[in-house]
Amino acid sequence: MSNGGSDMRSLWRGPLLAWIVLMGLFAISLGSAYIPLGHGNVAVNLLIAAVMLAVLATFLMDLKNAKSLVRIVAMAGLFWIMMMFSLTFSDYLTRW
Amino acid sequence: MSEMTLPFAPARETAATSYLGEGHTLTSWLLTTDHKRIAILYALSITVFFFIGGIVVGLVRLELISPTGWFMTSDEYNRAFSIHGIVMVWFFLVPSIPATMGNFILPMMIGAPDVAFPRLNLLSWYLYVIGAAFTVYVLLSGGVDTGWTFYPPFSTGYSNSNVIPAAVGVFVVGFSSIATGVNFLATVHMLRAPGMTWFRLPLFAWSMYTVSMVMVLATPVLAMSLLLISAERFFGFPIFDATIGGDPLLFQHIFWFYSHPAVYIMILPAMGVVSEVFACFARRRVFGYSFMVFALLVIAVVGFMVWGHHMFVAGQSPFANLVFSFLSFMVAVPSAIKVFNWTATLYRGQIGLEAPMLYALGFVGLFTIGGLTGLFLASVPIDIAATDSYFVVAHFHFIMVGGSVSAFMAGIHYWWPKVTGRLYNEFAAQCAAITMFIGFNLTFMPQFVMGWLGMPRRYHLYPDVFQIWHVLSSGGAAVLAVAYLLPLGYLGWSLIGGQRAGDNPWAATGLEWQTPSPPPRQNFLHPPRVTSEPYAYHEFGRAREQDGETSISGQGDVS
Ligand SMILES: [Cu+2]
Repeated sequence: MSNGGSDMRSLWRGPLLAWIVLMGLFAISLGSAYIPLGHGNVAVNLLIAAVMLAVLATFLMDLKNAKSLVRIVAMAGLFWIMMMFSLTFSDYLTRW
Repeated sequence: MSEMTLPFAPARETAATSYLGEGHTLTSWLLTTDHKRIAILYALSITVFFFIGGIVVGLVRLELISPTGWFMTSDEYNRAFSIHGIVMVWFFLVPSIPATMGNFILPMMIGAPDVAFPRLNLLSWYLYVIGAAFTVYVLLSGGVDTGWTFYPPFSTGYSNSNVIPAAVGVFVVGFSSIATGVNFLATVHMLRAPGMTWFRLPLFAWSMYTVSMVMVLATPVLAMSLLLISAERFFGFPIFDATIGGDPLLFQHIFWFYSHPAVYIMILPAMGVVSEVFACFARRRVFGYSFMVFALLVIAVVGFMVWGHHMFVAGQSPFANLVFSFLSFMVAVPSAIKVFNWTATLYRGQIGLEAPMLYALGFVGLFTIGGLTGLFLASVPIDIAATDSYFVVAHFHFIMVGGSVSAFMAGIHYWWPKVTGRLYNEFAAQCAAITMFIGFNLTFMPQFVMGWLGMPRRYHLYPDVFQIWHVLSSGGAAVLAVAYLLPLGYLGWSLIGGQRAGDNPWAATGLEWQTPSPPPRQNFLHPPRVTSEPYAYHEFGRAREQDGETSISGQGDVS
């Protein structure tokens, strides 16, 4: 910790940028709700959400610098969510 | 991870002062970070809640003796079984084995001086206490009538009881189980003693590892579901209410995404305990160790993919029913592997019928019946007929009480000498074990019969034809009550008048037996080193024969 000042700045820069990007995406998502796209709205929102997730995981959760074990755990989490959604949709998408 | 020095290697303690001797004040207990003392704090608290849940269900069984009801209104009856479910599931069964035996034994088993995050461990107990306080408040202020499942639209729109306080209590206690899970995962990854490779971990340690995965991944979803219920009830958010665009089935999806794995939170630790007990009291290596490990892992993972079997008649799509039915049949395979391997472990063993073994044998029988009737219910056509009947009630009590509570008792008796340094009265314990088995079957076998005949759950008024079964069941509950009270007596007495246990009264392998009873603050007098596989009972026996030893030196698989 020789030059703590610049260390601190580099520590904050990544998350801050990520946060700004997330806020931007949030604004786009909010704005897109007012554009009538029909089912396109859902698609746009899901796309934005996926980008947000990627930004969160890579920069805020810092998976880009993480050890492989941590990455595997994160992948497992993603897999788990996929499992949860796909099985839930096995209900919602096939109801009649 | 063969040769490494531990970051927290135990300091060499010369005098064996036990962890119980490290301070006798209240604060020395309430501010402790010793995993062993926290385990005892947990054990005392969950025992209180076990008896609260037990007294409530005693009232339920008493009420059910008469087909017309005799001292409860329907509303009171709803509140009684609801609080029974909430207390037993979240304040006893979920923390039961992990928070007590897991906390106490897991670090010792892997040769660690404590868990990875001792203060988080203490925090988890305080979270339990805060959640418990909410539940006590609910109990004292008239209860909650939604059932333990909090289904909307009743819970969000119609119930006039304390839904939000009850949900908050469960929400908070959920974080205590997340904290325990995170702690155990880190502990098993980081604090294994030199030589304790993954495939040398005893099966109880594996069961704690797998159950921690489930706790960490499932419990947040429970928190979410309860938060959404509260948001809809309190603020009127349109989430589950179909009249304003919500979907009541969505709650069931989210809730059972946690609550089916919660069954595995209750049963995986039980499987771990009985694996230890069978190996010790049959004097044999666990049959098919690696299969046992993979079965635990497969149960933990596939257990997440079967939740829809709770929704076969709820309006879920028939296609989803098919998928969930198939997956539910699949999850029976690893469970069956475990049952067969336990049986094979016993085969040609030198079987001792001490109390832990009796409880463990009871576990296997009852768990098997519970599991097989689960297959009935996993099949859609049968479940459509049996949904919400006493058949379901009997099925899950066979798993959660016959299975988990039997194993809990097996573990308490098995590790009691290690925890307290005292031996209990063996004969009394054997009597209690047998009484429990008889009482359990008398309570729940009649429920299978009446459920099959059409007796629905959650009603206290019922046709006369079911009365004989209800009376039998209530009689069984009385026997069961005796069986649960007996251990309080003889275990309590052992603390005052019990013989000194010595390091290793069962001549068991495993690191937790290679240290004084009760263990010193840092668990071991010398940093342990592991050189062989677990359950080396044959080598252990041979070594004792060669030495012509009659007393047990407790050398086990450690050189
Ligand atoms: Cu289930």
